[in-house]
Amino acid sequence: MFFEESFSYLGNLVSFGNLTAMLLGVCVGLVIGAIPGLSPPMAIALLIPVSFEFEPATALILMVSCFAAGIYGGSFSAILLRTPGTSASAASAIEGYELTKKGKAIEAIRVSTFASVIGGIISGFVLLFLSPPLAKVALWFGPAEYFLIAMLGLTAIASVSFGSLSKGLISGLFGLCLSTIGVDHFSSYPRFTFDMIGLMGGIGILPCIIGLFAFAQGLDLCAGAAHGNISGLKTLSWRIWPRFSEMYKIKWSLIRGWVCGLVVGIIPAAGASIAQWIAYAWEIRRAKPGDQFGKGEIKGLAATEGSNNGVTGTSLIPMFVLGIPGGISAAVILGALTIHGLQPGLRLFKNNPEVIYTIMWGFIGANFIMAFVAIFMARTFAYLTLVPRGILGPMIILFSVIGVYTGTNSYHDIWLMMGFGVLGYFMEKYDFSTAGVLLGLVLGPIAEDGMRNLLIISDDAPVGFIMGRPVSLVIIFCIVVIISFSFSKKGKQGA
Amino acid sequence: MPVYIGRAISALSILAISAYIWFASEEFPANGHQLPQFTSGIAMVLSLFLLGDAFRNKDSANKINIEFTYATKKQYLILLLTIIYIPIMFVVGYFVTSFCFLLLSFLIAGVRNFRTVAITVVVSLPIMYAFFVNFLHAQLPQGWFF
Repeated sequence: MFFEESFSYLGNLVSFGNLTAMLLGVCVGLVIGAIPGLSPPMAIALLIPVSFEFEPATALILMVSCFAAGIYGGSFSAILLRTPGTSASAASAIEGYELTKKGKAIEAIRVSTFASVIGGIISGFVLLFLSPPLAKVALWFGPAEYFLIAMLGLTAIASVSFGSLSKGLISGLFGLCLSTIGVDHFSSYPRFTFDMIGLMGGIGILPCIIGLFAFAQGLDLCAGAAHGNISGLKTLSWRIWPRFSEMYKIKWSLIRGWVCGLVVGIIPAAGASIAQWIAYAWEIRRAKPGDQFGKGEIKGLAATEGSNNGVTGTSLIPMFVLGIPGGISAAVILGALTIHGLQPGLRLFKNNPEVIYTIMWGFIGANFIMAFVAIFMARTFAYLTLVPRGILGPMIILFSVIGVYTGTNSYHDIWLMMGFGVLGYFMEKYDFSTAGVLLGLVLGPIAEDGMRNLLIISDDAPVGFIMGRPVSLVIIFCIVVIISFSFSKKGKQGA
Repeated sequence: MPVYIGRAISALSILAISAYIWFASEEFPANGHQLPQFTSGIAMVLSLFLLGDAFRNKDSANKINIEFTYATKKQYLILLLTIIYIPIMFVVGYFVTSFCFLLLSFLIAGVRNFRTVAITVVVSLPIMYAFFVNFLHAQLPQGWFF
């Protein structure tokens, strides 16, 4: 009955308005997602005024299409230039760029496209068929679970620090410390602001990610021979469509990435930024002798790309069913939903099934369209790897400066980005983990808020409180397994 | 300078910063000190590990090799140029300063194909302007000139 009802609205998708909305959303999302400094929430917000002209279903299809494509678009620049367009593609920059340097940019793009498109489609079907029951899972997560999920994310630092474990952990801890800068929203007390107005609001993710990855990469490119290019190739392969045999070899990495994305997506406030790191850490944990994680391992890229698009559909579940946005993009879509006169909740499924199911089908359709648009767009973007380093380096620096300014409209954030850029450049040079800093900065607020809320609701007895919650115990088990594995693996490497 | 001394200096710097964070966060109210002290405490322990590691693998012959040639230092010149470019852009405007910045940084980076430089600058700046201002309705830095 439920499946029949869902399928009965599939036909609504085939209209000029809905197909145009999908195509427009995908194109805008891909372009904006690929530009460092511009994020999917910004792209979705940009489309809200455009959507006023459309029917509610068409307007929301435009938004969800842009969201799915925006997350994927960030991977282009991450893989080809090591300048992630969004925080959701930061982990892809590690393996993706190493593959590009080996002259395998097109192969990396093929895998990224396949993992993202199929991940998005699976996530879309989960959204379509399992929304109401899965939304209840989101309600199992309280402060204790949020704190532990952040801790689980932090364990990824131990796995993704390829050189010294101590340096990797120090980088992550540095990121956590950075996340405490600014006015404390529990007590309104300024922490580590040194009376600087610009630091009162805290350190934004945007200047940090652009500085650590894009600006530092721009400086690094300027340092080399001006005439050489990143890939060392003179021409690019035209074989852009993925082959079955190629994907079959990395099937388990893809599946692990998708599963990770689907599960983490359901948890409000977790999102693609965390899912990709957990998927990447999981993949490293499953490494076999001969795998080259950190030096261009396609399995690592498959897992991160599968997870960040696997999140997209399921992160909309708590938003549609409970009115709890899973992330910033979902919050903007929630705003658009209410602007168009729709109230999220189970009544949305009862009172406006034609709208909600058409949107969900639209999300799945957008992922199909994304496959075709992305593959041709990726081919064009891939030419960037043939541009001389002396041209590319200054262009990336210029884009970083302009991207941060247009993204935050803050003069202060440009300097912050530059500070992170110089820091990132030297961290890379001396084997510290820039990914660890970013991970710490992303997870810090979730961990701290979770911990402080946990202390309040548990009456300063958090251990007993956590022990009484089955979901918390499952997460603790995962943390213990990952930590023990990471240390035993590093110990073996050290030996 | 031997590499192990450099590592020891890095470890001591991390230790000093962590100690500062620990003591500075003591006065934070409403449990606001917990995360900074938790992270700085672990960082202090890890920096001691790094310090011990530096002296355990002591090799006086292994020295930090700093080359002072143009080829190895040109990225710092571009960094300096960026530091000058940012405040000037807010006085003079996006187009003129970005044009000069790109031109100079291409030259510092070592690009000598002036046709490529000219085409890149002339094509990329208006496209960026049109994309950000006309399409995204974002604000680019404005000054005497647009």
